[in-house]
Formats: sequence, C-alpha cells, structure tokens
Amino acid sequence: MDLRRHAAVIGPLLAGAVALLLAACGDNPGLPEDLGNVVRYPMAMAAVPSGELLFVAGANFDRAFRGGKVRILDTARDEYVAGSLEIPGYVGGVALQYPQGATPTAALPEKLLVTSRDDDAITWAGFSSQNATLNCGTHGSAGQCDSGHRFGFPTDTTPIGNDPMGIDVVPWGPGYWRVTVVTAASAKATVLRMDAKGQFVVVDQIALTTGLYAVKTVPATGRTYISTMGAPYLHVLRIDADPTRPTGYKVVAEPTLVLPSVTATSYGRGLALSSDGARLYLADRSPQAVLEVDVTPGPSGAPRNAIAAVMTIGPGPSEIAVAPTGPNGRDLLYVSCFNDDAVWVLDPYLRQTVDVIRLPHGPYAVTTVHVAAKAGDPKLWKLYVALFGAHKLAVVPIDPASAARNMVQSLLSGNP
Amino acid sequence: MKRLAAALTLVLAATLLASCTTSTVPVLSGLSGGRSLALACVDAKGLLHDDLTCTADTAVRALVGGGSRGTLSLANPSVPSWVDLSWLVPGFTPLRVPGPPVALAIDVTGAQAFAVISAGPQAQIARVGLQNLGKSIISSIGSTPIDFEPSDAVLVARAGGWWLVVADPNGQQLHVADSATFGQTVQWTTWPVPGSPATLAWLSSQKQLWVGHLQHGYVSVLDVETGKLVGAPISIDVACRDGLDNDGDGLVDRADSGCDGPDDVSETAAEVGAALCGNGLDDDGDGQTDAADLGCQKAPVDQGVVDGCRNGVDDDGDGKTDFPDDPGCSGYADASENSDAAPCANGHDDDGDGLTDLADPDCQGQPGGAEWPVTLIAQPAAVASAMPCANGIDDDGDGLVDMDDSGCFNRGSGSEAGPDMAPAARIAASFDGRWVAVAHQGRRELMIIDAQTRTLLLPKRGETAPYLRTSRLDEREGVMGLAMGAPVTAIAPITYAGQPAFAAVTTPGGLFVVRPTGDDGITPSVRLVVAASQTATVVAKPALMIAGTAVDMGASVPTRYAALGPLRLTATTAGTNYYGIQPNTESYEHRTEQWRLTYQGLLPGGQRSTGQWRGAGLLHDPTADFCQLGVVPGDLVVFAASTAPGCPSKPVVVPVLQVYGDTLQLDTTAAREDLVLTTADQLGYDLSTTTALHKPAQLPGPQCAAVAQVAYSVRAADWLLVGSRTGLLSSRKAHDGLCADLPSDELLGARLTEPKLRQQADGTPQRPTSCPYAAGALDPAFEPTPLQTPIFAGLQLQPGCQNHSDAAGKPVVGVLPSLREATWIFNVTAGFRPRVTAVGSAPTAVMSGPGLARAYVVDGGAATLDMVEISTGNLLATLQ
Repeated sequence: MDLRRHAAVIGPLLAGAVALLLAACGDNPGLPEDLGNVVRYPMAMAAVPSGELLFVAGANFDRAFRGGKVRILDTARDEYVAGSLEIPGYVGGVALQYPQGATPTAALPEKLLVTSRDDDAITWAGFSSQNATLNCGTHGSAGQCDSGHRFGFPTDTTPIGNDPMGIDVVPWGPGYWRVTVVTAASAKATVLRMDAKGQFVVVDQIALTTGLYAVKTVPATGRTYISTMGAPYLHVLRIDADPTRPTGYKVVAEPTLVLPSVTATSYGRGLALSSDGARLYLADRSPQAVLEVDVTPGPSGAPRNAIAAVMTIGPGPSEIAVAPTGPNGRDLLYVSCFNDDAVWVLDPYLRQTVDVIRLPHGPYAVTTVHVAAKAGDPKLWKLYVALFGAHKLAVVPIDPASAARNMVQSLLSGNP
Repeated sequence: MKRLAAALTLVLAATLLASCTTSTVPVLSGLSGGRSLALACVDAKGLLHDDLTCTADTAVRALVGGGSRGTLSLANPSVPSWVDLSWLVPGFTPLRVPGPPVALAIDVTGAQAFAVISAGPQAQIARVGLQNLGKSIISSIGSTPIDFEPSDAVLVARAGGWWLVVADPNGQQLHVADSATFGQTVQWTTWPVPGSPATLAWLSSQKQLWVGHLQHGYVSVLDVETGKLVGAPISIDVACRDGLDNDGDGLVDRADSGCDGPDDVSETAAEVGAALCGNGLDDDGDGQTDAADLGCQKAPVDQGVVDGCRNGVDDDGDGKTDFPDDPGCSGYADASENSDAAPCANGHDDDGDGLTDLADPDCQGQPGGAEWPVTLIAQPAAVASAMPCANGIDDDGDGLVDMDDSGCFNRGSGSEAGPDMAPAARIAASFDGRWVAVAHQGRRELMIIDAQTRTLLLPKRGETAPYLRTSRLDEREGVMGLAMGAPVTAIAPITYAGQPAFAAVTTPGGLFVVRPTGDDGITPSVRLVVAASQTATVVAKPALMIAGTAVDMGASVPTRYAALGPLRLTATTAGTNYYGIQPNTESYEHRTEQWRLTYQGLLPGGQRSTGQWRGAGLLHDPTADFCQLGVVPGDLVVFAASTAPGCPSKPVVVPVLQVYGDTLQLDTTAAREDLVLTTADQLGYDLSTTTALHKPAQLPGPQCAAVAQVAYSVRAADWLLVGSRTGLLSSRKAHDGLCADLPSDELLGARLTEPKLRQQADGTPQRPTSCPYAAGALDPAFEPTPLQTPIFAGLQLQPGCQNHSDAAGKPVVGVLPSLREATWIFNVTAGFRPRVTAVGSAPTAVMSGPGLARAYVVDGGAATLDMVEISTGNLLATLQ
C-alpha cells in the first residue's frame, strides 16, 4: 500500500481521531469559546423561589466549543439578562445556594453550583444580585473557572468521582451548607461542607450503585434521596453525628427502596418534592412511570418511604416539576418525556394524566415559576421546558387563570 | 403498459410516503401509559356479541387505550397478535383517538365503545364503532366534550336502555347519560356522591352501582334507577380514618374525642369511669369489657387522673379544658392535662428538689421556663422542629398551622402533611353479583364485601387448608382484608374452578386469584389461591456484621461471637432447623422478610431528642408512643454525655422499670456508666470470672439538658429481633397511657437473652467444657433461654467463647461478652405463599368474562398486553 497516495485522507483521519481521543478525555484544545447568545443543549435549570430569575445551563454536547454556558432568564419579560458565564461542558446538574436565614420567597442566591461531566468536578460561581451576573474568576484556556471556584477533580485529594450528575445544597449550621453530589460512573455519593467563601471539606463519601443521577433532600426528615439510572433503586442517606471524624459527621446509608421494574437497562431519573414536602416523585424509565413515595415521618420518626402510587406515562420520562395548579390549588406534576416530545401533566390526587403538552424535539429539564408579567399584575404559573436538541426554552402558561393554559406560548432562543 | 405501470408505481409510492408519519414517536408507543382495557366478544358470524355469555377466549377481542397522542389498540389475543388498523402506514397502527383513554366501556346494543379521555386540550368521550369488529375493523364515529375530569366509566341498564355513568372525583358526583343520545345532543344528569368517587362496579342483579373513592375510606352504593344513595357508606378502613361518623355522634375521625389516633378502630367514647367500668358491656367496642378494658385499669403516673384530656373537667385548673383547648394535652388519648404543660406549670417537681412549679425559685417570674437554671432554657426553634403539629409553624406551606391542618391528628403527629393512606380504591363485582371486591391501596389490602348484607368479610385466621388466609400477626395488625404486600392497582371478576372469584394485580406486577367462598361456592371464606407447589418456609444462611463489616465465616462461625447455632441444616421432628433457626409449624404466620438480630440493638424510632423530666426517674416524651415503639421493661435508656457542670461526662445507661404511652419509669438505682466494648478489648474479658462490667453512675439531672430536649436512645438490654415487615413483635397499642396486653410470645418475642452460666456449689460460675461447644450445641454449663415467637421456635443463642489459660496456666474456656450492634441477618422465605403470575411491573387494568378461561392484563409500564390462564396461573402470551 502506498501511504503517500492516501496521505490526503489518512492525515485528516488521524488528526480527527486524535482530536476525538483528546476530547473524550475531557480536554478541548483549540476549540473556541462560545460567544453566541444561545444556550446550546440546555440541560439543567434552577429558578429562584420568587420565580423572577431562571438559571439555564447548556451542555456543549457536540463539543463545538471549549465549554458550556449559563445564562440568566428574566422570567417576567422572558428575556435573558445580558451576558453569560462560560462553564465546563457536559453539565450534570445545577443547584443554587442561598444566604442563611433568607426568607423563602424573597431569597436571591449567593452561588450557583454546577457539576461537569467534562472535568469531573464541581464548579461554583458567585452571583451578584446588583446586576444579576455570575462570576467564577479568570477562565483558563480550556474555558474552566479558576481553581478557587472548582472542587473535586480526579487529581484532588478526594475526587468526587467520574461523571458527576445531581447536586443538592441545603443550609447546615451557622455559616455552612451541606452539598451532596453523586457520580454516575464512579457510583459515589459525596457529602461536602461548604463555607461562605466556597471552600469545601469532604464530610464523607459512600459507594452506592452505578448510574447515580439526581439528589433531593427532604427538609422534614433530613434524608437525602438519590435516584439511579443503573438499577431499580432509590437510595436514602442520613447524616449522623460522629465525633471521631474531622467534621463531626458521617453518612449512613438507610435501607434502599427497591422499585418495581421491568427488565431494562435504564431506570431512575429526576426527583421532585411535593409542595408540602410529604411526597417525593421519581421519573422512572422502567416502568415508564412516575413513582410517588410517601416520605412523611412514621411513628418512629423515620420516613415511611412507601411507594404510594405508580403512574404510567409516555416514553422517556426525564425530569419533573411541581406546581399547585390543580383543582383547589393542589399539586400537578409536569414530566418531560424525552422520547415522546411532550410534557405529561399528572394529577397525583387522581393518579392519572390530565394533559399532554406537545413540544418540539427533545424536552428535558423542566421548571415552574410563579411570576407576574409586570408590577401590579397578578402572579401566574409558568412552565419552562429546556428543548435539548432545539437549543431553546419553551414557555408554557400553566396557571388555571391563563387563557392559553398548557399551550406553548413562545420558544426562547437567546437575545443579546 | 410500461408507462402505466410506472405511473401506478409512482402513485402508490407517493401514497405510501405521504402516509408515513412525520412524528419522531414510534407508532408502537401506542400502549405507552396504557391504562384502560375492554373486552369485546364476536360470535360465529363475526358480530359483536353480548360478552356476558362469551364462552370462548378465541372470540375475545381486546381494546387497549393508551399512548400520549391517544390510541386505541385492537388485539386478537388468541392468535396472539395486534390488529393493524391502517395498512397504508408501515408497521402496526392503532386507532387514533383524541387523547389517552382512562376508561373504556363496550355498548353491545349500540355496537360502539366509549373511550373516556381525561388528558388533552379537552376532556371528552370518544365513540368508536364496533359494527365491523368481526372483520377487525374499528373506526372513530364522534366525540362529546365534557367539562369535568373523569376517572372511570361503566354502562348500566336502566330506564329501558343503556346508560353511561362517568365518575367525577373532583365534583363529588357521577355524570349519567343515555348511550343512545351520543352522536346527538347528550343530556347529562348528575348523581351526587359525597367523597371522591373514582371507580365504579355495576351489580346488574341488584340494580346497584358500587362506588370506590380516591381519598375516602368507604364504599358508596347507589340505586341505578333513582341515582340515590342506598344506605350508609360501607367503611373499608379503621373508624378513626374512614371519613365516616361511625358512632353517630356527629363527629368524624379526629374531631371525635373517642379517637385516640388515626389507627384507632373505634370512634366510641372510651370505657372509663365507675359507671362504664361496671356495667358488663364493651362500651367502646374495642373487644374488652369492664376491668379488662385499659380505660378501667389503674391510672398511669400522672396524678391519678384518668382520661384527663377528654373528661370535660379542667383537671389542672388553668382555665382550659381537655384537648385541643388545653396545651398540656397532646391529644384526646393523653392521660393528663399536665403532661405536656410548660415545666413551671405541669404540677411536677421536675428537678426533684421538693419544690413544684412556681414554688421553685428557678420558676419565679418565668412560668414558661424551667425548674432549673435559666441558662439552659431551650431556644424555641430547636423544640419546634421536633413537633411539627405544635410549633406554630405552617410546616407544609398549605396555609394551615398545627391542629388547624387536617394532616395533624394530634399534637404529637409527626407531620402536618400526613401519611399517604389514601385508598385510591379499585372495585369490582363478582359475576353472580354476590360479592364486591375493593382494593385499598393505602392499606395494601384487598377486601371482600357481601353485597347482599353489605358487610365486610373479615378474613379469619389461617388453617391448614390450601388457601392463604390471615394470620395471628395479620389480625394483630388489624388487617381488614387480605394483606397483599403491594398496592392492588386493578381488580376484575373471573371464574375460577367454576366459581365466582376475582383477579387482582399489584405493582410490582403480579396477578393473584382471590376466592370469596369455599369449594361449595356458598360458604363465605375469603382466601388467596396458593402456589401449586407448596414448600416449607426456608431460611437463608445468616450473615454476621461486626462494627458494620461483614464477618467472613466460611463453614463455621468464629467462636468469639455469639451465634444461633452451627452453620448447617439439621433435620428435626419439627422440620428443618436452618443454621440454628427453626421456623415454627404454623407456617401461615411466616412472612417473606429479612430479620436482624442485634446485640443491644437500638429500637426503631428509639433515638430521640425531645425528652422531658417529670421528676426522679420519670422520662416523658410528648412525641413518643413507647408502647407502639415496642419498649418493654428491662430495656435500656442511654443518655448522652454532657459538658454541663454537675452532669455525667460519660454516657449513662439505666433500665426501664415501667412503660407508659408517653412516659418511661426508670430504675434510677441501677444507673451505670455505659460501657461499649470494641473488638479489640472483647478478648480481654471472661464472663466466667467477671460479672460486673459496669460502674454505677448518677442519672443526668434536668439541668443537664435544655427544656424538652433531653437526648436519649432506647436499646434492648440483650439481643433485639426485628423483621423488615413484621417490625418489633412487642409493638402494641396504648390507651390512656397504658400499653395493651400481648401474648407472651409476642411481648417477649422481640428480645433474645444470652444464656448465663450456671452457678457452682461455691457460687462461682461454671465453665464450658470446650470451645467450640461440643456437637455445636449449647454447653451444659449454661442455663438455656429458648425463645418462642409466632414465627420461630426455640431460638437459642450460644455465647462467644475462647480458649485461654488461667492464672495457674491451666487451659480453660472463657465466655466472651457480645459487642454492641453485632448483628445477625437472615432472610426468611415463606413457604405458604399465594400463587402469583408475573405480569410486568405496573399493571393498570385486568379483565375477563364469566365463561372465559383467561384473564387479560395491561402493563402500562412496559406497554404490553398479557394473557394468563386462570386455572393454572400460567402466562400464555405477551403482546408488545
């Protein structure tokens, strides 16, 4: 074989293979920064309690750029606030940290925490409420934030593991917050203590099952629930005092909930809590359903953790959002079904589907907000749906008072 | 001709391509979210037939409603195959309907099916023509919008025709219309049904409609001719949770002072006082009369007052009478108005200094404070978090605080939101109209009602007959039907062995067969059909955990650890002994579950932080029910160390003398330092020579903790036995502060005592002759302590031992103390178990016909239709 004759083909192929190899290892050399205003491959969202701001994180799924992006949406005007923050790609999950003692409805966050499956770490950005901007220091050549805004690398003393996905932040004593992050490939749940300066100390780390996905802490019992894509389980963790440990605490795995399942290769996804904190909802892919778990404390004080209902829905259940938009203000669930191009609306009281909202391709993250269009207007509930493949947000009025309830009002692509 | 052929080919191709869906959703997703099922029958001519007389499964056609866009799939199960309803579209194509149907009803007379649709822009009732069902053709023929959210539908014969009845849980009513008027102007009539009517069963023989509710624990019955309720609702839950005024006093459930708690079986006022305690009657319907009734027994520790929180007397003279007015009352069942009052107003000398309440100088000027130094008075927030129903906070954000919130049964309730005990009832009537089966999903029970007498048939204790019936433990737990272990998501009448029966499906997916009668088909006898191949209950090899780590045992248990016996199976006259564990012969008491035997195990719920001192040795906790937690005299209470001056710097353990509902009387004379051995220092002890492991200690005084924040834990003094399903056998109800009696094998069946060494003539302990013990049996040096429980016979621990030399160098056998939290774990698989057919993971519908040999099941989770042979339980086919 005369390689010279095929050099024109072999060369680019080799270069492409090297690039792919490097990209697969998490390094994006030579890729440009995404300076556009579109949040590409929106993967995760978090809204402030008042509903006025929505943080939207994009995943850079196709590695067209060196990293992903976060933008902040003004939900009253349905316009992005000027500017964006570059973050590592392959966002797993996002969480907002609020000041201690903040009132539930008026709080604005101090930090945004993001997990990145690209660098297997936690990145955090400080939020300025004065101009609604995010800052994570000086970016490196690969688009990463500075070292003071990142934690848990594979080269760190205590890495958080490979493929970090869900992340959860709750207040934990004066001046501290408890951060729980789970990793899909490494099957670890890591509990960290974070201070106001964004300094992390590992409290404990526990091995569970592969495919860990979402994290949700129930305030009433303090238990942390973790879904997993790899097995029909719902893990439950508890934090106990342990004077022998540096932070004085340890993580204890409580009995795992075994979920009904069919033989499949993919199981749990998103978690959401009911408005009264009594029910935990899990989007499950085997069966294709939403599971309702009673997490209220039983006579012994421990949560009941009983599966109260299995509500079958469309293919590819992914994430769940909750809003009190049902009859008499009871909760309705909004469940994105990625493989169905739809959001299914469930009434847990009736235990049945009450509507199906058709959407363009690939709905994934969902969030509900209660916000007024302008000062003086009544607050109405809205649903935001991240359309992964379309790089857009769908805005859907879901309030009972909305004339176009459960119909797509607009598709937000990006604005200067 | 060639040109014509080419043109025709192009046209055909264009047609085919034009018919291709542009949707990215696979057409085979038509069953996704499948929930509804209807069976239609075709006769020999292929015409729609009265399915009540359909006798051959080959004549059955199944209609399955589902899909996100709304589809109706048609199956010919006997082939088995789905019917492609559009040859123009590649692949299997269902019929499109306006939304996913939640219910289907076949109108034979009208040759149509009603598909009741809740989801989509408009709830509606779609009609599907079945005239050509025999040719495997169905078609949409119209739809009628409705302005309510439907949950179920059924066709009933009334007024000379067939009428469609649709349940409207939100509206607390049923909507009724003549099926013949669909396609024209439909005139709806509404039948009010108080509650949350959700599921329907028609008893044609009695012209009645039976209605199950979503959130209300009863069944309603209506006359289909008049639409009026017939008689009172039939309760399917305990009296204090069913939403009914069971005792006719105008008060329902938690509003009724006769209700001690949400699990109380009677709303009737307690049997207390001289008059009721001497009249020879069971006044409160709890099965106990006069002196045997707890209410008539000796009053508990609080000032000798009986039923102080519902006796109509201001016992503590604070101007507030009883619950809920008096804040000292946690609930109607609280024995005293004082028990939860502030420390300076509770009538107790809390700090034991001889001065009570405001007479104590520490209380001066601070009635809400404590009888001990103010520096340790709690911050209100810390206590508030422990009592969600008495903290003044709207914990669940519904705008209702504490007792204003219906989720709080009393002030000691653990949550304002309340547990999910909703029945979400499924209901079905047997083919002969004699029985109605109701599934209560919250209780995970299937109940059978005699439709003629309108009485709930309570399953009786099991026998040796080949049918699974309730057990003593089931009765103790107050089951009202068959305990299914999982929520029953659908029920249908079937014919089994020539008799009316029911098929019930659960999530996870299993199909059970329930018979309401004995073999004669007449005698009421509720039972589950059991597996054909009955096996004995088996116990898997136990595992041992020490300090949270599994011990690698190999073929034998390391001698240093206490064990139930050698790791082998032994044949005995009573059956097989599994590794020292002998299931008793009453196999219907067995449950498939995991058991844990833990040395000085922490009782479930025994770690608490809301204790309050009520005087020397009286520990009160308003959030606890020690009877329900299963505490028994002899258990240990462990108090954490304190840094406060004058308080024990090490943990202190003290035995329990007496157990009351919310108070423990402790043996203060036996308080000692809590000694927790490690694996390292265990080998340094020999119980043959050392008897006193613990040093005496003083109990922490009330000044050692903030008000109402005494932290403590309750442990077994010896080994604690807990089942993953049974829990603690010693768990029992409380009334007026007193714990109910239990049979001894239950009260004592949760604790296993390590045998002690016998005494020699000189008073010194004997020594075992060998270690390991000879023949794997307990050495004669020990006094045996076999434990009998309803599930296990003769459990006996063999203490750990080691060979060492005494001071003279002579080889001796030493007995080792056990390590706290050492745990034996073993799984029990009950041999006496029901016959179950696996039908997927989330079955949502099941149906059969009077003369049919098969049952048909929709698995909404996996989007399949399963066919089960009723007589054998065999899964014949799965259509995907």
